[in-house]
Amino acid sequence: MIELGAFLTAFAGFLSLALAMRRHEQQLCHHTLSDLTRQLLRLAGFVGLTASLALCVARSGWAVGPVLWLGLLTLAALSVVALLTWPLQGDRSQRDRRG
Amino acid sequence: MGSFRQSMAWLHTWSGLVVGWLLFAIFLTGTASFFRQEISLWMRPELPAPGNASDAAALALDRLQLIAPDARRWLVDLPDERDPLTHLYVWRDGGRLPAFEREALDAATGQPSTARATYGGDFLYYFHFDLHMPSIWGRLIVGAAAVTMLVALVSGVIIHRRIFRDFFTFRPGSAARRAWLDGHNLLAVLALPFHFVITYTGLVTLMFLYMPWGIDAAYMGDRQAFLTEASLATSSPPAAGVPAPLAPIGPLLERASRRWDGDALGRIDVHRPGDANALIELTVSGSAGLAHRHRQITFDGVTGALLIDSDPGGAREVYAVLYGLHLGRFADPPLRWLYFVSGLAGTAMIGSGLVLWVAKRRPKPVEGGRASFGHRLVEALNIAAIAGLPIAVASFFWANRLVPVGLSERADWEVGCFFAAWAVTAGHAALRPPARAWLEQFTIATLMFALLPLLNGLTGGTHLVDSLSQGRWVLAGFDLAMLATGFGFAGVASVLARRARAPSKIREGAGRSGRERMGAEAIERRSR
Repeated sequence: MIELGAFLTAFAGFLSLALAMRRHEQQLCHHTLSDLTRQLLRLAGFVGLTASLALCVARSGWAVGPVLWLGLLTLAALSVVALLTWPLQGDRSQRDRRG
Repeated sequence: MGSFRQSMAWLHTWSGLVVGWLLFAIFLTGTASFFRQEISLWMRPELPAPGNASDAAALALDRLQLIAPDARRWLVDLPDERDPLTHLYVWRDGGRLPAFEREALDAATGQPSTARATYGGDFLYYFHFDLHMPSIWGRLIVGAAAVTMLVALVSGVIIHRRIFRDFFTFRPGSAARRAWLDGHNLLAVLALPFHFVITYTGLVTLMFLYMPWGIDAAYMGDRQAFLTEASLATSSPPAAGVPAPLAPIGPLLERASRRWDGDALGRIDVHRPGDANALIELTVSGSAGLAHRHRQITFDGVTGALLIDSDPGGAREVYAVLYGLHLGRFADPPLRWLYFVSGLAGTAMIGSGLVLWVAKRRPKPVEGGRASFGHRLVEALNIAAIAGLPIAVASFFWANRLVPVGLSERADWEVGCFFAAWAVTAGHAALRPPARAWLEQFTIATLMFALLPLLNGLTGGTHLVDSLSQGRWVLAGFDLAMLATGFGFAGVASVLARRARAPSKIREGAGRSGRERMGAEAIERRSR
């Protein structure tokens, strides 16, 4: 199940990185974030991705771990895109505005 | 810089278009090949659930002794957790034909498998790099396509201006060009490491075929000598002409297992069986590490003395790792699925690129609205590749269940159905209006994939309900994957049907007023 943890940390990492971008911040938050928050989000994003790599290497070693990590990164990033494009809940008005 | 980007854009567009259809087929069948053994298992419903096959090696050699005592070389691929069959391969020097023969054994009994004759997942695997062509032509064509793919990848990265700012951007609701470009970029960028590595390592797997000149120069044209020295292949030693019994295999397996710290045995290679010069070569199982075929032990086939315990050098190991990365045999189920997802992303990236070419060049009504021949040709080929190939694959699976089991050359009939179905979809794409052809083919693909689990249950396979309740995950997984594929195509078909009812939306640029177009361009400018 350690691969699930690795996926979730990668997902959280990418989500933080997306939130730190102005375009996506509008999609997810209703107010503008401060520069400091944005910096922190970016930092959190890279921490998440690194933690994911650590989990992958812990699971499968240095030979296979990075391969697993890259695969998980692809899946996690695609999931973040899906979440940004088709938000899970409500706020249809915002979605329609973007479309 | 601007003109450099422009020339790279030209290169990307045309290199991608020329080999796009072929690459789509290579990627799709290659992606399916990550589940080659699982597909083979589903395609042989007569096989029993995998049981204990601890003496498969001894049984296989007994069988070979019986059917081919005079062979030059025997090769045994042993069963593993993914493939319950033992596969035998026999080479003979002249005399009694055929010179090469293969047979699948029931691993537990050592008798020829009674499962139906089929190439199974192997067909998709081989098609992926030899296109079912004779000799090396297919491999050369695939190699050229792969090099072009690398060109398209690098030029694609160069022309993507906002690779980080658009990292998560997907706007399916905006104009068709923009939406397809977003999708194409996303599928490319988010799986870029995979695309690059899989294309590059794909070339590496056949690099001695593509670039033999260094070897030819250093080894005076004797490629076999190179392969032997690099322990990539063993050439059979000359026969002594003195008969000698083969050493019992059991003790050799134990010694190999001790040297491999318990890693499983994958392959037994016997050269000159029954001769005084016999050699027995054992290779560790492909699932035992990142590298492909990385450890081998060679024994004297008569005395059982250890001759070579291969410790490959650095270059050899690099080659094995690159090869292993491409095949992904080391991957456990989660990683295998990630390979599969990345492969699908690559396939979809190529498909979206092809569709984008058409979407960008849709004829405007002011020009009479008639598509040029080239435009029409590209669109028909797009349909035949993107919708037609999945139909062909589904037909291959249907043929597996519907072609009578006793038919001679049965396995070839299945392959025939694959190509026949593909040809029909190509003809259909050429004759029907494009929008209709897309919709009709995706509808057929939906039905063919979604009904496969039903067909499986009706024609002797393990029914999905049974395979789920018995925990036979490979068979259940195949059926579920087919259902999911069917649902995927259903989604595409329903989107196409909705657009067909509201035609102004798809023919964007064509049907839009000048004001709308200005609005869309403003949005595009802002997003730069």
